[in-house]
Amino acid sequence: MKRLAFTTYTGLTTAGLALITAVLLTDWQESVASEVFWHILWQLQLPLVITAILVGAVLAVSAASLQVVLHNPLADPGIIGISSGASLVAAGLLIVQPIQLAQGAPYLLPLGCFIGALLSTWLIYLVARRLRGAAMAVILAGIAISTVSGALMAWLYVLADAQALRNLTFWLMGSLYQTDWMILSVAGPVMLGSVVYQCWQSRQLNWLYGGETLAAAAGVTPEKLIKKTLLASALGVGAAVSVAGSIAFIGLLVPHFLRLVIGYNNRALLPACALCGAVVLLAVATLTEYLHLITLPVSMITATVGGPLLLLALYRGQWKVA
Amino acid sequence: MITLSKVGVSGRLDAINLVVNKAQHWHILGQNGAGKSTLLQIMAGLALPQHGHCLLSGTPISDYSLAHLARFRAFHGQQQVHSFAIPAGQYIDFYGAGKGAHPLPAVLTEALELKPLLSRPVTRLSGGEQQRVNLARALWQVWTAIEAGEALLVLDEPMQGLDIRHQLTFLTFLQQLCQQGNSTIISSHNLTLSARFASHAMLLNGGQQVASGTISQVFTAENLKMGYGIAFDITNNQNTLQIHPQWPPVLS
Repeated sequence: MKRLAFTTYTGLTTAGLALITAVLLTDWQESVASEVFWHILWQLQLPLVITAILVGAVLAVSAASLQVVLHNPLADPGIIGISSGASLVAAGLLIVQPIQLAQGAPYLLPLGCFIGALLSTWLIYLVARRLRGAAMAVILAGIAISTVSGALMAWLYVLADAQALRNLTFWLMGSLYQTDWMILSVAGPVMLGSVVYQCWQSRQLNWLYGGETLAAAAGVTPEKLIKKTLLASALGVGAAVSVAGSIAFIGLLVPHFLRLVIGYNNRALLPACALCGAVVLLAVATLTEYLHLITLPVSMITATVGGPLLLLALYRGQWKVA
Repeated sequence: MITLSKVGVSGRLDAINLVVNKAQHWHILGQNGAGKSTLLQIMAGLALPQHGHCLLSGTPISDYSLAHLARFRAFHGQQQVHSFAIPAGQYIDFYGAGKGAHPLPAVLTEALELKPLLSRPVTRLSGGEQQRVNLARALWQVWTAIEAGEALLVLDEPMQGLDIRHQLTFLTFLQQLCQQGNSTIISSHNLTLSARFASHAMLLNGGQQVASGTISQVFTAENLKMGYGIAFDITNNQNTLQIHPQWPPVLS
């Protein structure tokens, strides 16, 4: 088991480094003047690489720990409504004020998304607390919030003009090309902190596998642990959504895939999820860079490649256990 | 080791007094909803009494941190539905605080016959098998304290779902642990087994303490009738109490 985890780490790190190099060297062959090359590297490709790594890592890790905390293998940041709050704010901003947004205040959108994510998480938390039951209540409240914001967004669609609709559609399906150093300097540390914190408390997450009472018996206050994990993942995912829009599927794909490979121990699983999530988005970045498909939404690629892969993993996993 | 004085939880427990000393083996008896689980959670430090207090070695149990309690107090609760197909061995290991790669001790695996279960996912075990895995998890968490004879084992219905042979082997195992100095408090529905293996018992009815003390003090026809609402025949066969409910009840 230890060796398997080690091999996985090594493999993922190597793949990650290779992809980083690939992205950074995209324009190397084109024999451009070195000044231009460095400018592109510094202003475009380095932010792209950092965005891909952090967003991928935080989405995968948050989903993995949410699945444990909520006792639901289907949980991901989308299901507890974090992304839907952010999407709603983004939709509102993009559709109501598309022009001012593009010029005067470029940071209004990420900021709004972040606030939207936190607001919806807070709302879900309030509802869940009134319902008393921890796991199921959070999921139900999340679905309710998602439904409401979905409905509001449908209304916005009706009101929007064609260009705004197009912007919104692209934003909703995710893009790694909307960042710059300014946004990253704020959102980056938040995402990094969220990933580190969740990995750091992964041993206590293992105690939640047997339910809240057993976690308490094992030495941790379950309510606090759950609250902190929800907060850490909401902050991290909120930052990720405001940087890269809503990226589907990584949260569901990566943890399940890795559980089949290295097992259920969160101390090994969460760091592996961070690495794997980063590698997946780096691969997407490499693909879009080399094929010059900057306009291709990230969710389209992750879902197209990831869906069949997950199916395959599940299928083979079933064989193994049976 | 544990002293309860006038412990009460509104609607559940009323003025329970109890002193559990080191190396004693207590069985809590009573009908469904008599307050057994609530009492056990209070004694495990996982729930607070509304009235009275629960002292552990002279200090209120709420003054201990959960992390501190987790080193010597084992707790087994009602069944948890698993959502992840974790192999049973790995699941048990998650709760073995800081013991890392140490294998489960042979006494433990033999007492609960864990060998064939360890590699199977917890989601695919039968009710009784899950119960054995969960009991192992509870004991493994405090194994260092058990070996030192300083553990407090609080187990809520550990025999639920076990077949008769596993009930006997597990109770024998608990008896050995108590002889080594560990204190055990469990709830039970099997009067004959409790009379045979426990050193002390407490009988609850509707949150009220009907009787508590040694086996011979508690297991009287009068007490059992008050606790369960039906009459029992108690015979002493070679120093083993045989307890048979009178069924159907004789109308008087």
